[in-house]
Amino acid sequence: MDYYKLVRECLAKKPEAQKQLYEHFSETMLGICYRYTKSLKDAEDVLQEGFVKVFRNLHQFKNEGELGAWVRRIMVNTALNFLKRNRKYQDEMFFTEEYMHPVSTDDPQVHLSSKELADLIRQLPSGYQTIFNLYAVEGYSHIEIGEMLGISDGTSRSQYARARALLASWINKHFSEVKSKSYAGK
Amino acid sequence: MQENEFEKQVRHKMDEFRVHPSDPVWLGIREELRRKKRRRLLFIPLFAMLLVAGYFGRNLFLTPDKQAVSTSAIPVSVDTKTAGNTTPGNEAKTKTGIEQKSNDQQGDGISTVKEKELTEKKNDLNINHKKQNVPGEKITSVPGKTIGATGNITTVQHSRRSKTDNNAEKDVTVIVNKRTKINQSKETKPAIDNADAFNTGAEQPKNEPETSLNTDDFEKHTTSPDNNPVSVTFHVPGINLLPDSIVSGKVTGVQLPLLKNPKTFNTPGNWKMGFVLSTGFATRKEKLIDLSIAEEGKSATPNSNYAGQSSGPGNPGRGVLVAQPSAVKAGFAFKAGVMAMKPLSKRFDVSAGIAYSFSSDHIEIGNSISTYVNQIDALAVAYNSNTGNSSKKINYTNKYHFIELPVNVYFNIWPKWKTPLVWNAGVAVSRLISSNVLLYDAALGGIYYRGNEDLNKTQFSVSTGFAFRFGTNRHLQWSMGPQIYLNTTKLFQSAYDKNNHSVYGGLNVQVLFPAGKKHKSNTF
Repeated sequence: MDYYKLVRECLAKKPEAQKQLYEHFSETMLGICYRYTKSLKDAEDVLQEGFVKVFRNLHQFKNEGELGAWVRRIMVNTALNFLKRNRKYQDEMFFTEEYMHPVSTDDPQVHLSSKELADLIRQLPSGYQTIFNLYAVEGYSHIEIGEMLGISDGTSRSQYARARALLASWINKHFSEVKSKSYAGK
Repeated sequence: MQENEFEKQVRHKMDEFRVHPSDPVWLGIREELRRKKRRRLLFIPLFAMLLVAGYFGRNLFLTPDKQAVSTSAIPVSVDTKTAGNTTPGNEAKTKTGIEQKSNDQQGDGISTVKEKELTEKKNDLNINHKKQNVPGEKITSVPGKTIGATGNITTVQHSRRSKTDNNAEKDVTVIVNKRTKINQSKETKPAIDNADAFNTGAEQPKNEPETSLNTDDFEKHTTSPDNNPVSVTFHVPGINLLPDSIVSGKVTGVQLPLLKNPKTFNTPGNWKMGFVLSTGFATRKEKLIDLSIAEEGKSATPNSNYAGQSSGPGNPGRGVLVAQPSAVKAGFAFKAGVMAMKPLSKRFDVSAGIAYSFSSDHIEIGNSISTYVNQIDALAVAYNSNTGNSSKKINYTNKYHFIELPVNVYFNIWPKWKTPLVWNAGVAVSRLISSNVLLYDAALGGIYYRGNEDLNKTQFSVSTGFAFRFGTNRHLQWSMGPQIYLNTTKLFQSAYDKNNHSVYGGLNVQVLFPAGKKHKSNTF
């Protein structure tokens, strides 16, 4: 796909180009929004808001990087803003200063499907969920996460460690359940 | 590097993760993108409304009411007090002024005096002004200094008191120097000219009427035995211009200029300015669409037909299953604007204004699409639950933004009631600012497209309603009642919706204020 041409046509307010851009990225971006929220409806709200931002700020895209990464950053920021202003998430988005949690040595093999893994991530408390997504999936550093969420990098580290440990235990549990079912089936 | 291994697995899994969004998401995005455009457009009429309101407000509320200080005779009774000895036989001429302004730039004592009529002779002193009611004419006086070389002196010492003293008495002191006998008819004029030139810096018209006093009478009360200046103070309640320290006499029984047309709220002829707000529901008067499929009379279901010939731009051709357009449900609507009302008589009023009008209606559409059919930018398919051409039903709100210029006539049915019942009727011309309306076309078995191009942008409407008026005897008058608007112009030009007319019904509220200054009393 010629992104340069697509962006140019979107800037010319051509509806078919806008639709094409949306269709090209919407599924991937909704997957991102899905991981940050607790329901599909909220995820679609974030997606809609994010794409409106994309189209309104497309003139700021300099064609220097990849369009997908640029759209992805907008989606992540939109999701974070959504979590901050949505009362449903605010209670769980309260980050307390905690002592450094030791990094878990439990490193399970992730045999889950992407949908199952995403659903497990969504079951984490919102604070853990957000930091886990930002660090493990998006690849932000703890310092960057701290700046994005207004917390210290230490808090981000400890929250991530807890989230990781929790998720690892769930994955192990899920794996053992599947294993026992498969034995029972045999 | 165990930690990184876990994160890598998660990242890899999540990069593969995709969720298909539902159709309304894209419609919502497009709607949001269009809304921003409309917001920009809304600023234009709002700015225009502000300009119009500001213009009327400036003219009606801020322009000084010159009539209030110009006309009417002022009977003046003057008690005089000589500043020294009095020399009988000396004549003096003077100018008197009721309203004075201090001139800060020229110094504390320099003042501008607006000329007043002084015609009636009731009391001890009668002061006549040959010239009456010359709006804008000013006489400048310098305290302690003779204006003009003739010895004809008008000396006024005053200063403006604070605003809080508005209801206190007003003192105007006129000190008359009576050293020389003056031919009043010849000598007064230069004094005025000099004064005006001093005040305005411009040459005065030669034909300017003279202002003089009847010095024969005046002399009796202002002369002093030794030619010393005589100080005369007009003591006028209600206006406060002079400090008490320079008051040397008092004028009693002085009346301020009477208002020839005192403004009261209910007097016919007085303009009222105000706001109008109306909220209610709007819809389109719907007419069944005359598709050629109706000729076939083979409609399999209540909500679907097989198209024969279509007059629309997207002719689906024979044999295509066509979903009929959605029924239109009423939506929220409101109007807000400014208006001016002029009472013609006790029963009839007329008003005009400018208003912003918003109306909406609801339709049901099917899945969103993005297809160009015969130059139509199709956005959604028509919903058809029976044929299954559309799996989802989406509620869509058509919104219309108009700016309108209404003119109304009001008939007071029972004017003697405490809360009179008023019937009104009016016409309005309105112009579409923006809309997101989706219009139907039979192309591809029934689609909806953005219908802005097919909207009749200029609309004429008629309206009628009843209202109860409250506060008719107070400063603020307001009325409330039901109102109906019907657009006589067809809303659309499209083939399928061309017989639609917009209908609006709601509750109308008007708030009116009397235009111009209100004068509480005329005499003191």
